Amino acid sequence: MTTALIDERDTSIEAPTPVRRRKRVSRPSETRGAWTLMSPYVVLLLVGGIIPVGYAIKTALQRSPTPLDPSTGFGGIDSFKTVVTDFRFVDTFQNIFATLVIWLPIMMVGIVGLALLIHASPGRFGSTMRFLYYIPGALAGIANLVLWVYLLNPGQSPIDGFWHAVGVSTIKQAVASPGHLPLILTAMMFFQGVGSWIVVVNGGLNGISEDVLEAASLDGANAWQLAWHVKLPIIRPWIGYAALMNLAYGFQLFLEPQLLDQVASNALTDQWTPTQLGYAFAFSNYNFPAAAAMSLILLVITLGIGLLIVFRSGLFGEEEH
Amino acid sequence: MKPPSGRLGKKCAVAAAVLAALSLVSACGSSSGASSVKQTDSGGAITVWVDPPRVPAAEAFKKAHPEIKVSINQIDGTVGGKGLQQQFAQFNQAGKGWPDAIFFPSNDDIAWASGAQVNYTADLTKLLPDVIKGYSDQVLAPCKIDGQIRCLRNDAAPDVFWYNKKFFQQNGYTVPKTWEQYAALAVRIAKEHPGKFSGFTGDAYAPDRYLWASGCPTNDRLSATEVHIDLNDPKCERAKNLLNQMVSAKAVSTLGIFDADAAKVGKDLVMSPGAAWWGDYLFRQTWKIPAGQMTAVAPLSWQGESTPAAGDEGGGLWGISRHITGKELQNTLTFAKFVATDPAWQVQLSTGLPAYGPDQDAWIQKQEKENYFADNATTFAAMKSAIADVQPNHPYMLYNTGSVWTETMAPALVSGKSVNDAWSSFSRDLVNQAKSMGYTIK
Amino acid sequence: MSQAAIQVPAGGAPSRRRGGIETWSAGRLARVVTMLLVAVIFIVPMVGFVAMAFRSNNGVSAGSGGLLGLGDISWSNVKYSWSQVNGFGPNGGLFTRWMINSLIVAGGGAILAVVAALPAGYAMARLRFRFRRAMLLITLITMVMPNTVLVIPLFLEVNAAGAVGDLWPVAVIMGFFPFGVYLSYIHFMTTMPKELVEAARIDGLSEVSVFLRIGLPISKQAVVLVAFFSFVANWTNFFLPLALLSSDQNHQTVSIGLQQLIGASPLFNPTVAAGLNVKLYMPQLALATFISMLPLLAVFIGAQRFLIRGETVGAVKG
Repeated sequence: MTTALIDERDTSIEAPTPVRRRKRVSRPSETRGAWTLMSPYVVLLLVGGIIPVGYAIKTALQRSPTPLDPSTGFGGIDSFKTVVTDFRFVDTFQNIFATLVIWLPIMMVGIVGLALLIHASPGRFGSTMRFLYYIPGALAGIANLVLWVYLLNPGQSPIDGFWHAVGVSTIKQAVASPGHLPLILTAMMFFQGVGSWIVVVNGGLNGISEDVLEAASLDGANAWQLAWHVKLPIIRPWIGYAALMNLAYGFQLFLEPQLLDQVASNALTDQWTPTQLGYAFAFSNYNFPAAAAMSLILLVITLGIGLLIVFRSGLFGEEEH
Repeated sequence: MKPPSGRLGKKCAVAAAVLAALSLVSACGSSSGASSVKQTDSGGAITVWVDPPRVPAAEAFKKAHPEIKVSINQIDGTVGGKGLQQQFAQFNQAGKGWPDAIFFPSNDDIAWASGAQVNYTADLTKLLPDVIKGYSDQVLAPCKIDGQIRCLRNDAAPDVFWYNKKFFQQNGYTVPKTWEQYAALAVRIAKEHPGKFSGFTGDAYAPDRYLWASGCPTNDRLSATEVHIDLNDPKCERAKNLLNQMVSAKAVSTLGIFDADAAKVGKDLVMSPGAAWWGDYLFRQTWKIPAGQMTAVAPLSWQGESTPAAGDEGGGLWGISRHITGKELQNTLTFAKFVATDPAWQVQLSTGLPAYGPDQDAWIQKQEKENYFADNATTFAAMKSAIADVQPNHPYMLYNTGSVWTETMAPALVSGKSVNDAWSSFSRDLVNQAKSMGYTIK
Repeated sequence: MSQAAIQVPAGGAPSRRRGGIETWSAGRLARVVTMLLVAVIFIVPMVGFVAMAFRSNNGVSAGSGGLLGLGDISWSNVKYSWSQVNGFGPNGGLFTRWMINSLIVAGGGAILAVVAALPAGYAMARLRFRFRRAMLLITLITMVMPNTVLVIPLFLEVNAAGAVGDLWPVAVIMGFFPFGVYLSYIHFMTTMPKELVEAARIDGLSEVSVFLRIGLPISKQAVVLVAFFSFVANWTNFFLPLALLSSDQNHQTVSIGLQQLIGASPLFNPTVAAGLNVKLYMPQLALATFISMLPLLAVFIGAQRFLIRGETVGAVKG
């Protein structure tokens, strides 16, 4: 899911130069050159970002057809009404929240805790552990799902004993028993994602100046106090960033519930998450306006989270002011 | 040096470009639902889509007709899967890409494939009249939509009543004649022989076996936009009570017949209503129940009724594209005729009772050679006669009753709830699904 | 990679570092044990899974092979499993087809991403123009949003252009990689001195030439990074190929192909699998998954040097 780089330097952007005194740029050749260089990116931005959103808005404003009444035409917010009053709409968000409420705290505690532990571990041991924690992240997306099908299938799973202990004898029971799915999703997403985020937060920790840590330990702080009172506050931007990114990721869950349904003999609700509902609108009901409306709703939510990250996490510092 | 207006011009140019792109894209946007059908002719080459069990049919056709160029596309055969709908949605928008012939893995597919929005299947009344004559009315019922024949049935899949003759004889049980007797006997067997069970509740065909057989209105199509759903109908009540009785006594398995784990317990099935194809496909090939044990008799009747009542489980439908003409259409019709009627597929290779009447006896003769059932003559006679016992008023709709069952009832039963507990959520979800498809519930 | 150079004493009693030997306090023991436990929890399933790809069907169903089935692995098992995996499809060979398609879209998308990101990142880092900050903002925002939210709008767009089922729209869409632009931006901000740009301008070079002559030669690391992350994101993308490529059997990528293999497995769909001429049990599925991950491994090894060197950026893409 996440790919991370290690930063040994400060990630904040260079402070603006005195040239900014003048608000207007007065170098047309520079502007022309800039736009020429930017042009491939701008084209891709249009094709991959702006035009789809614009077209989705246009589509969402059409009437919502049903398989029995496929007439179209301008509908205003008709499709949004269809989406919001659909009997599955609220359920999908409830399911997401049920998963987030369990997964996010565990994820954040895991990320921060393990990153701190690694930071506190000197030399080879720490870097080896960091590498080992990163390995599960190599299986992304559907590969992770196949791995979990292997783990979730009693009889072949290496944790067979655990399944017998909780009385689960088939993969359908494991996945489709009420209340199991958020827990399974938590385990899956934790396993897949925690490694890369540990690397990121660890990178932030490595950026802490040694003087600060020396001073604190000279003052008599033990490792625990060091972590809690010194390191944590400094890496707050990274923690906030990780939390918000994972929140956004949780909102758009699609692959895992969709495919777990397949291995559980269709015992899960087909539209368990909002993205699955949007997919169903598009490809089961052929209701493209409703699918577009659903996408726009999700877009607004993740956009909101994205704005929070960019403006409030403190990680992307000065260039926005 | 460019004048300042150059920059403004640039901004306008960008905006204009975006607007132009948007309007271009929307101009290309198609109107949904073709009123005039665009038909093409490839010159003879045809593309057919089949699920894995039907690939041999397409291969047999290739062998029998080497002069026709056939591309075979293997599709996901999961009953209740949604992938197919997605692809056809894309074809309609693109105006191209439809297969010439397709085997619908789920019978419910015929509802959207023939519906107003996708409108893919051709009306075969005038195209294949001779083939149609060979089908009985009940067997072709799923294909008869608003006076047109929109598909051909591959195999007949009426429910017969299966039981383990060896087990019954060993323990002195009598074969039940009514549904009520079946439930009572199931409870008794569960008590006297723990581990043995008399039915499955966990798969998408379970409502067909029990609710359809009872005449419970879940799929009662009144018109293209109206459906009658009433799960409090007395006919539904009697099916519900029957299931409740058996589930409470642990006389039925909460697994589904398609579950991989069903193979582990398949040998312990002592009796159950089940499709004609259970015999070969499930008992012999998948669950490997030894020969000479299982037998089928005519379906059960409900107390107070004189005729047997059965549901129907699948039995595959072949659809032909509306979007072809000329040589391509001709070849496709040849293909359709072959897979529906030719003994090379229907008798020699197909594991299901042919829906096409004239092939049935030949198929029975071949199957009898396997000598698999305890009483072959009765079994095959029951299969043939059960076709007429399938209850009417149960066409396939845009919503999938079996899916709603596997998503509400089946998991509830697996986690220990009773049928009565889960019935309201099954009912509510069924109505919701129907409404979300646009139906008016009457 | 450099580590924090200080020794942080763990636990209550401060331990002194004398000649390299640290005393084992309770806190240190707890820390090490916890970390090792977590490592075991993470690694054991991976080992079991990879071993599964090397096992035989009979061995799995019999439960033989000892711990994690390691005793059952053999190359002949792999050959058999591969024959099953690659035999899937009406004429077989579908898995190879999927891998090739994935390479095309992931590789094509990565190349496009590099071609777009490098000049754009340079421009935003070193050139002054009116909407510079707006573009940066747009890049940041699109970068932190998950890529699935745009899939259905993208489908509508490609649909309207009549190109659903073709590979090239997917590659083009994958070329839109704002994170790559951000990486490139950071790279040029940190490694391209302003004075160099100014000097080149004074020499009379146009902005584009400055980029080509001066910026590009020092951008090797950025190229590798952008290509790497783009390739990984493209290769593992599931929803976009699902929406755009499902309609054409020969154009599907390996990520959605694996879904078909699962759907055809006797483990989950015995009736469908009964009609198939290949049997896809857990060893075959594990092998298919493993093979599908090999290109990622290859790219990772290739990009290794550039990934862990110090000057890279501590940002992530969700």
